Amino acid sequence: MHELALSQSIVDLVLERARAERLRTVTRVVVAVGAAAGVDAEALRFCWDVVVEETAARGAELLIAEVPLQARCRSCGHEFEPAVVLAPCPGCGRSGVELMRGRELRVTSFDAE
Amino acid sequence: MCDSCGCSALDRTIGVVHPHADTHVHDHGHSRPDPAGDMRTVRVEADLLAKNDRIAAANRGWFARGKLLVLNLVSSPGAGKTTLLERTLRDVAGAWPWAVIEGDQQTDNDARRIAACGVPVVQINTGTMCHLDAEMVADACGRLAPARGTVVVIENIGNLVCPALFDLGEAVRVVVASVTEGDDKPAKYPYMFETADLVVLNKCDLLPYVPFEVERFEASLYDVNPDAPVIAVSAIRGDGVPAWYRWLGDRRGVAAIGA
Repeated sequence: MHELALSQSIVDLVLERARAERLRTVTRVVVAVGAAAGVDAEALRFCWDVVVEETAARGAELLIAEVPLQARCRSCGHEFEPAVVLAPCPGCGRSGVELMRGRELRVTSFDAE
Repeated sequence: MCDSCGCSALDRTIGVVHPHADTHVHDHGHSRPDPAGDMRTVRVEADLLAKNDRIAAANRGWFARGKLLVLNLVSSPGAGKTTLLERTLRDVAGAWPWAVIEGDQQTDNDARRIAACGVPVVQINTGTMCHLDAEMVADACGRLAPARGTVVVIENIGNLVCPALFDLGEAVRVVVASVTEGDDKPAKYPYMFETADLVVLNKCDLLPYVPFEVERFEASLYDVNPDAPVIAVSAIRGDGVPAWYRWLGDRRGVAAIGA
């Protein structure tokens, strides 16, 4: 359950930034999570409600924007959007592709007052 | 727009629905920034693993300056990480200086097994956490204070999922798999196997008794990570371990040169 540690990192990061901007209440946080980031969105959301308790982000909504996969074939260089990490190249049929996008784990923005 | 409550949560998400349990209380309003109030949107664009990655990079620099070979040993629970380590320390402890960092949620059982081999060891208990992070490793290394040229083995929490995400600053990541698991493990846990520098396939003495097929395992691994070599061993009996020691020796040579 590394989602608990990640939720804590999100709220720490946001609250630090909110304090720096002299904002008192955080109402919404937007994160970008790659489809291959190894993070379960539901688990993240579940943990979120726990870690924001007793903080200035209490009750804040966590908005998770999934980033789809983008891959490049190591054999022929073809770029495509695989449905799963291990999908073979639709161009040459070989497996062994390099992920170009889909590992993101990033706080994009937050709303606060 | 969200079908359940009409809020705008789905406007910019793909395939993720935020939950609406029957008890969901709408006390937060899902409002857009209120032009009349002080509500505003702050752009952040910060990588969540950035802090861990920064500490891992510092660890890596520190390891390189000390000519340390640092291994991150990962596997599912019970694959035989500690047994492989015990065998290794008993066989080649005299060849190089060693130090071990043991990670478990609870108990110092593994640290005691390593200490019995006469090697300095620090136990990290993570409590509820499912992985070691770079900060824990930095702290443990500070306590171990390994001499120049030491081989430092970090035995991570037995878990094929979460430790894949956290760089510790190690030079090499070794995945221990065992033939009592399925031979499709690399396909099932690609994030862990794709970053492996080496896969040690343990418990090979049990091959006659289990349906595990080494070729199927290697094919499954090749799909995720075509570069990782596989060394088949029986840590408990000692079959195949010389190849593992040669691999370690080569890697230690590389660490000593500072390549």
